[in-house]
Parts: sequence; structure tokens; C-alpha cells
Amino acid sequence: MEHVLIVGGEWILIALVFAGAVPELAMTCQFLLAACHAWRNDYGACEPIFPRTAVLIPAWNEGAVIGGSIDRLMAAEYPPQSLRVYVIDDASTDETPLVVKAKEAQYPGRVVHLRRDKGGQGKAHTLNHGLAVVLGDDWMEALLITDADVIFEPAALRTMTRHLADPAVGAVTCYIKEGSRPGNYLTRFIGYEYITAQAGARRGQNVLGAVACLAGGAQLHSRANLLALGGRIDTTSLAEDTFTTFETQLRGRRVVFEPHATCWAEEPGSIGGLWKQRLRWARGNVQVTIRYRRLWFRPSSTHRLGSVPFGLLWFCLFLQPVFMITSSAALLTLYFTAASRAWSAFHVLWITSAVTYIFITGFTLLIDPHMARRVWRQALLFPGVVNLAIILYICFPRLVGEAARWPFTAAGLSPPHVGWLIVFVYAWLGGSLALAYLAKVAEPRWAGRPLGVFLVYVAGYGQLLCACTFASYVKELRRAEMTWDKTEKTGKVTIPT
Amino acid sequence: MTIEPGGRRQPDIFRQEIRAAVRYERGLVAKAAAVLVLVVVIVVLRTLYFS
Repeated sequence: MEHVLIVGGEWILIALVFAGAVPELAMTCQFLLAACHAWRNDYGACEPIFPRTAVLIPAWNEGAVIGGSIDRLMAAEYPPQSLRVYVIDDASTDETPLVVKAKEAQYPGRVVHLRRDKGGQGKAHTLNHGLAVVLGDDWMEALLITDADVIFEPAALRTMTRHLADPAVGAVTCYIKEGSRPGNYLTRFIGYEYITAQAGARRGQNVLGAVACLAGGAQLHSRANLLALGGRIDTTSLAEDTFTTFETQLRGRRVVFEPHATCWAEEPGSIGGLWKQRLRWARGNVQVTIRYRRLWFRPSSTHRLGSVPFGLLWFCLFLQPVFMITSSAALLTLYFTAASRAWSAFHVLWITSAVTYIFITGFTLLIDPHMARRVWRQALLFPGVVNLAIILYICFPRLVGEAARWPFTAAGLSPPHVGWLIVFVYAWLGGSLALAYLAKVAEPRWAGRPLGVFLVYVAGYGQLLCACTFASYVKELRRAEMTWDKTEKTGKVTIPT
Repeated sequence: MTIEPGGRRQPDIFRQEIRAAVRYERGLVAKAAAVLVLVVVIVVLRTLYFS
């Protein structure tokens, strides 16, 4: 009896170890679906239509970027009489009102400055101020919600509006690329992340028929969809864009990702800035997961959000930090109870990781070769140096083992005992989250910036995002105050030629 | 909705762009297949020679 319990316990631990690879497997499935976008897409229902489009830009102290963004929108390949830009100035204290007023004079009747006297309530409140105005008359047929720093390529808007020819489509989002120039290591990591999360994953979601999120900086809605949503954006969460996406689909309208419509945005260049932004997004995802708790894994004829594949994708990514920590804890427990099983489980886990890493990285770089030329180093180092070393060892154990022993044998020393190394490697998957968190803690301190860079490369950018997701659980559990930490924009975005 | 305000050329441009988009999407199938082949090659090499 005791033996049966021990063996059963071991198998449970082995299953928990493999759980560490589940998020990567889910991502791989999403990328395989993305490859099917050639057959399952919305192009058949597209028409060359140009609905009268209002563009809403919420702006709080965006003087450095708003002028350029308006100019780019005015230069869009779109009938001038069918395009109006509404800037909702959220009580800015910088030169934003002056810049927008100047643009109003430069583009009479096409740029409108709306001013809120009391600001700081968050993006959703600001958008609702603008929505009330544009829904006040019947001129607007479609609405583009964007951010002050986002720069649209000339063809982007008309490429998006085509999808609204299909009345079943309620909203369209486009491919946002990281556009800071010259940028730094972090913006290049984000650049790579956006290829995976948008050009790759959202294609897969198009194929599934359920899109997780309309990008907050580029969401085009039909008037009918906005009216069905009550003409307002949810103000009770930090993820108003995800709520809008879910509500659109729950009401039976489809959300489409258009990968061939491109815009460029400025993303944070510091770990602190990135952490604030992603913590807001991750907390928003926790709120979405809880708010729609009756939706998951309950297929419906109205929408695909309740489908099993979409639910699996959502939860695999949402719970990624939990999977990683559990996997490490299970490996360590196995190491001290059944070391040989731990070694086998470790191999299977990391062989799976290696295969998914090679596939996702290779395919992502091929999806957007232009961006890949800029971010390929960050693509390779996305999981961090330690993870890469483990992957290399798993792929080529003899070669890497001999290479690791070489410095010791060359110096006439005996190689160190591998016991501690094994414990370190087993604990790494969970421990890397703590190291990534340390990068965020270290950055604002003395000599913290180079240390932060070093830690991100060692622990991995992906781990930094996972640590942020974990922090979002804690914040939500503690019911921490929801503050809208606006990402600072400096106007560094340029569209590469 | 406002249909085709860009003159007679607009539907032609539209059709060309849709064809180009679909062609690009088909290209992704080949790219995914190429990466899968690379993965298989690495796994086979690892199993045969580097394990």
C-alpha cells in the first residue's frame, strides 16, 4: 500500500514537472493555427469601403507626440471628407492644448479639440467623454480608438475598414509594432514580443474565431457595435480594451485582427516603465478572468470565447508563472525522493522547451522578416542566457558537458561536484522569476541600470513578464488601489523606410 | 456606408492588395513547414549523434 502511494505521488510530481511546458505548448499550437490563416481568414468578406470614420485620441500631456500623430492621420490614404480626428484632452498641463488648437486651425473641420476640465480618471473615462460627442450625431459610421503616440502607416486605416463591410464584424484591430528609434535593448525585446503576441498569436486567434484583445492603441469599431455596447467603455477595470473585445464578441459580433494594417507605437525603454505598463495589463487580465468566470469552457453558438481551445490558450498564458513555480518545486521534490525519475522528467521538460523555443523563435522571425532584422538578437535571448544554456545542454549534452569541463581540466583542477548545479538547474524555472523581479528592483538604485540590463539578459525578458503577471495576482489578492500609470511618451517613433 | 470614393481604380487596388495579403498568408505555411523541418532535423541529430 505504501509503495503504491509513493509511486502514485511520484507520477503526480512528474505530471507537475511537465506542467512547466504547457504554456509553451499552447503557444506553439497558437502558432500552428497562425499558419492556417491562409485558409481561414476574413478576406473573402472584405469590400473597398470608406465609412465616415471618427478617430478618438485620449491625451494627457502628450504635447511631444500628438502633433505628429495627427499629421500622419491626416496623410492617411483615406477620403479627407470621411475622416475626423477628435483629441480628448484630459486636462493636460503641458502644451497639448496649444498643439491641438494649432492642428485644428491647420485642418479646419477635420481636427476637433475636446477638453475635459477635470482629468486623471483614466483612459476609459476620457474615451467616454469623446464617445458621447461622436455618437451625438449620425455622421460617424466607424470609430478608431488610438493613442497619442501611435503612428499609422498610410494604408492602415483603409485596410482595416474593409472588414466592416461584413456586418458580422464588430471591431478590427491592426498590427502594432514597436517604433522607438534609436531605441534600446528593452524596446527591441518588446519589438520581438509584439511579433509573437500580435503577428503570430492573433493570426491564430483569427483562425480560432475568438480574439483575446483589441489593441488599445488601434481598435476600429462599427457604429452598430458601439451602440450595442451601450455607447460606453467599461470604466471599472484596468483593461478597458479587453473588456470591449469580450463584450463585442459576447454580443455575437466578430473581432478581426488585420495583420497587413500596421501602426507604430513608442514603448517603455526602462524596466520600471515596462513594469508599470504590464502590471496594469496583467491586473486587467486577472479582472477579465474573474468577471467572465461563467464564460470559460462553456461553448456557445453566439461566440467562440467559451470554446475549449480558446479557454486553454487563455489559462495557459494567464497561469504561466504558476506552472513554472510548480514545475520547479516538483522537480526539486523528485530530486530528493527519486533522483533518477527527476533526471528523466527534467530531460523531457527541457526537450519540449527546446523544440517549442526553436519553432516559435524561427517562425516568429520569418513572419515579419523586416522587424526580425532589428530584433533577432533579442529573439534568441528572449528566454534568457541560463535557459539557453540549459536548452543547449539538452540538445547537445556531450558537447556542452565537455565544454563545461574543459576549463577545469585545462587548469589541472577536478570539476566541481554537480549536485548543487543540478539543484540550481531544477530550481531555475521558478527561481528565474525572482531574478527577473530583482532586475526591476535594482534598476532605480545606484548602478542599477547596467545591473538591470544584465539581469534581464540572464533571467530572460519572458521571465520578467511572467514575474509581472505573478505580481498582478498579488496586487489583485491584496485589492491594491487601481491607479492608471500612464506610459511616458517622448516622440521617438519613426516609421522605418 | 461610403462605397468606393477613390474612383474607378479603387476596386483594382483593393483586389491586388487582397491577393497580395492571401499570397503572404500562404507563404507563412511554407515558412512554418520550413521551421518544423529544422526542428525535426535537430531532434534527429540529437537522437543519433549527440545524446
